[in-house]
Amino acid sequence: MGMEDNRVQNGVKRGQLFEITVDGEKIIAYEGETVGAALMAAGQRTLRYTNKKEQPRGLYCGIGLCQECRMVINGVANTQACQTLAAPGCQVETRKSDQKRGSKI
Amino acid sequence: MKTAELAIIGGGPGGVVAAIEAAKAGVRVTLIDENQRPGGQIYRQFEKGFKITDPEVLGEDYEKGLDLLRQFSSLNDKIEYLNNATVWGIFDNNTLAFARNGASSSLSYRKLLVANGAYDRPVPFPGWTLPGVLTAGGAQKLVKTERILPGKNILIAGTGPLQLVLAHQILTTGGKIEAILEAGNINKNWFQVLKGIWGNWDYLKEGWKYLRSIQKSGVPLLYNHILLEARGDGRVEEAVFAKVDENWRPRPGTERTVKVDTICSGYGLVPSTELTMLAESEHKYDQLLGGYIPVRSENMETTVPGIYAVGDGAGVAGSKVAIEEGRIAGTSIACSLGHISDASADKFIEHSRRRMDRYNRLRKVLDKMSMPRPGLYELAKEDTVICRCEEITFKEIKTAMVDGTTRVKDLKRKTRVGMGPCEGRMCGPALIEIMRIHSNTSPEGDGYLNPRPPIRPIALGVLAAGTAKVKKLEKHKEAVNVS
Amino acid sequence: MFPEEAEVVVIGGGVIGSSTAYFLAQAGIDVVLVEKGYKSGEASAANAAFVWTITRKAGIDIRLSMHSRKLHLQLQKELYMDFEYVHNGGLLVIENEKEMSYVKAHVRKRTEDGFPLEMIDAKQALALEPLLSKERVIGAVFSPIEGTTNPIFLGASLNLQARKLGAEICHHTKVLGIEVLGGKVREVITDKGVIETNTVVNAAGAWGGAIGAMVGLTVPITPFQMAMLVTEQLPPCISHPIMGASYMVDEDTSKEGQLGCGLIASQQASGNLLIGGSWRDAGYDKRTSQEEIELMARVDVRSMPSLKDVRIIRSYANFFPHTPDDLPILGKVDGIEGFIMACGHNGHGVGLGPGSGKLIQELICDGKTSIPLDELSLSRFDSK
Repeated sequence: MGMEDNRVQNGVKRGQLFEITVDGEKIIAYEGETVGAALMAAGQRTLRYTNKKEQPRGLYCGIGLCQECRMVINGVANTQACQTLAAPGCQVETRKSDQKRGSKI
Repeated sequence: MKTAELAIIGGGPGGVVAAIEAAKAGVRVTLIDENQRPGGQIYRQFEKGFKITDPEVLGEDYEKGLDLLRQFSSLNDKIEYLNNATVWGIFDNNTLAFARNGASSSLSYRKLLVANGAYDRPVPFPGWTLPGVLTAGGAQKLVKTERILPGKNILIAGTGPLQLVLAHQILTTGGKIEAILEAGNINKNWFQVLKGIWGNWDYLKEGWKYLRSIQKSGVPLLYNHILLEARGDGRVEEAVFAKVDENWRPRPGTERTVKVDTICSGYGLVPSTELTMLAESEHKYDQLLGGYIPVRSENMETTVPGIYAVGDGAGVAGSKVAIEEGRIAGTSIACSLGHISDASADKFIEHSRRRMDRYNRLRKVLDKMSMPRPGLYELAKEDTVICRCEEITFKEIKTAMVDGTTRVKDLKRKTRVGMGPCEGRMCGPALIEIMRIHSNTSPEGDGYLNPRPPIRPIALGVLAAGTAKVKKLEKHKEAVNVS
Repeated sequence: MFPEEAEVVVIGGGVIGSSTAYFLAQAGIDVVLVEKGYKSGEASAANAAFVWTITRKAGIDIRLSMHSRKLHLQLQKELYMDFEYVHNGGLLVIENEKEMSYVKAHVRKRTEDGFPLEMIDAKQALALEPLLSKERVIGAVFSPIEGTTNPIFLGASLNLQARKLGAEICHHTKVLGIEVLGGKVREVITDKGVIETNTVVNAAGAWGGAIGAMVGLTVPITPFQMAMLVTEQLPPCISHPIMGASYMVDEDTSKEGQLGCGLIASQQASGNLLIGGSWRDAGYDKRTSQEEIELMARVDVRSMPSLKDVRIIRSYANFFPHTPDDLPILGKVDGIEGFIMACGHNGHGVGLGPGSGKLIQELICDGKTSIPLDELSLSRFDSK
């Protein structure tokens, strides 16, 4: 996962480069990128698993409406990755189904 | 509580232009935008950190947008711009609720303009929930302003001009497109097409540019072709498509499978009407314009006096039309608030209307080509998920309907469809068509899922930080009213 | 084919009407239920989903609740379709001394009446429900028989089985009039047709007054709006229905016309939390207001602070049928043979539904009921 980079180089110059942690592993992100974008750039498409059938889901609408990109970000569950700007030290978790008692709410 | 003469919801071209016209006429405007910067979807700006080194690469839309946004920011002493603010409800007494900076708030207004845009039509087909299937709009945002390719081998499937724009953008970044599938075809009646194009030379020039770019790249642009299925183990690995007839139904024997890792599904846009519905405007169902749209006067006023609507959120017609509608609404509102005379308003509006009518002539041609045909809603198979949030399949919905349920509201109670956090946005458009086709339910009347506040998910703590005062309410006088 | 005659016509397809139709069908009665909307359409689809006895007052109130609760258990065994009835107990949470003395007085009266309640301390309350605020909880009442259900599924389940037993359930059918001749009910006129019958059950909830008016009766039922919030689906985090004592205190003592609010919280089988709740006099207006949404949020976050990041995905409201003495109107009426009242459950319809349905069935079939209905008759409102 760490090696892939789908970023486009032409047309823009990016700002500050930093790392965020996703499920314990580090990936790079740039200032101004959302967590969702950074994950897509790294080639990670699966952002969560559904409650009933544990199906993998990823980015769909990209503009904060479909609710498919919900992840645990900095300890807060159900945070939309496409609406959250990445920042240095950001902690991100994909989540298996929400069935277990005691899981983060 | 904050007050404004004119409250505008939405920072896209429609809202921004209306703000400019109204503010120039002396109206006290507050524009509420859910994004960090104005521009909406089409004129989306870059986040902080990105420096543009080659504007050419970013396309004409970007430049047009910049121009408009410069005008907007030059009026920042006259327009109050509330960014990162999500409107979550419209209530009695001309107030709206919004969430900003971690707290809920109220804004009361004399006039309201809803310009909240549209979103990609969610089309259920087998495999549409696989990671790697995204909407054309979602892909466009990634490519345009986040400068990230959604995948290494992309299939673009759907209908309409937005697909060509997306394809061109991906090609200019060096991305690889396997093919572009266009379900429709240019209207066979050339006279109609000519009538539509006539006078719309700028549209034509743009369209030609994209078609040329695609032609030069060698990427196949296949008319009358539709995506049937996305396949893969936990992610998109291949796609199945076929040639279709004029009802978008696959012709037997034409199926093909290609190896792709990304699918951009672009079947036009659906107007966001939660706010105009919450405001209790009348709506009608217009398939050419994307679905439910508020009923409006020629000056963009809905059936609720004082509430106006413009842009794709009131009927999908593109940015040029949104801009003219914004001009008409902004001017008309300024006039109704007494800031400008009827005479000067009328003159200005007349010019706008003429341009708008010209654009709409071409739009009709394009929209006819891209209007969803019955075959689109026959793609889903029994085990295809229709309600993504609650994971309700087509089979479960059909079973509930066989049982005698014919209204969307009742279907919701029975199957939980529409009860998830997307609040019915991703399943609603398909559900209405499914019900129309399978049980002859009219989309008007009981056809839709009632929006209820908050029309976007809002954290409990944000609502709790609100300042709505608990006041002593008058005892309702019609308590024994028979409804 | 629209039914042209029936032994009994039940007007109203909420929990009360659906229970009544079910028990009548089970007893072999030819029953038709008419509902102007869809099953569990109104208050029955928009409430706290509690099957609750803690705050029921001593006297006929608690007797009705206990009787109905037993029937919930019976239905859980009898009905084919699951309605998600979970009954592991519930809490009435106390957060200050004023609430504490009010609750203690209530517990005392209940114990004297033969229906005791158990007081527990803050530590025990937090062990049962860890999301409660450590800073605010000073004690609670715990009752092991409380529970939650899915009222929409309950209604659906009752209708499904009633149909199997021969009942006709007519949705989207509005009653336009009831013909009474010579002091007897003769027929029910609906917008889909006329049904000849000699027995009508008025289970029309907040519209009980309108139905009563059709036969010339003054029924003192007024709509009283209650609102709730729905969260997105969460992992299991609340195991019991929770009510704040302030809900009981305010509901009993609040002044006319005020917007009131108290803690209500439970978790549905789907994982969504139903939290709230607020009440106000809003006529037949089902829309929620910004004030009540924010007020509910404030009360809920104060009492359960870890919910602050949980997202609300919608609100709902409906009007409960309010009667002047907070008790339902059940039983026959003077002067009109065949017109039976079964409405005015003041927001306790889900809990009392099966019980009321059974009592009405007994009244119709046997002429006598397990709980005497004299205290609950319409005539108690006649001016002396």
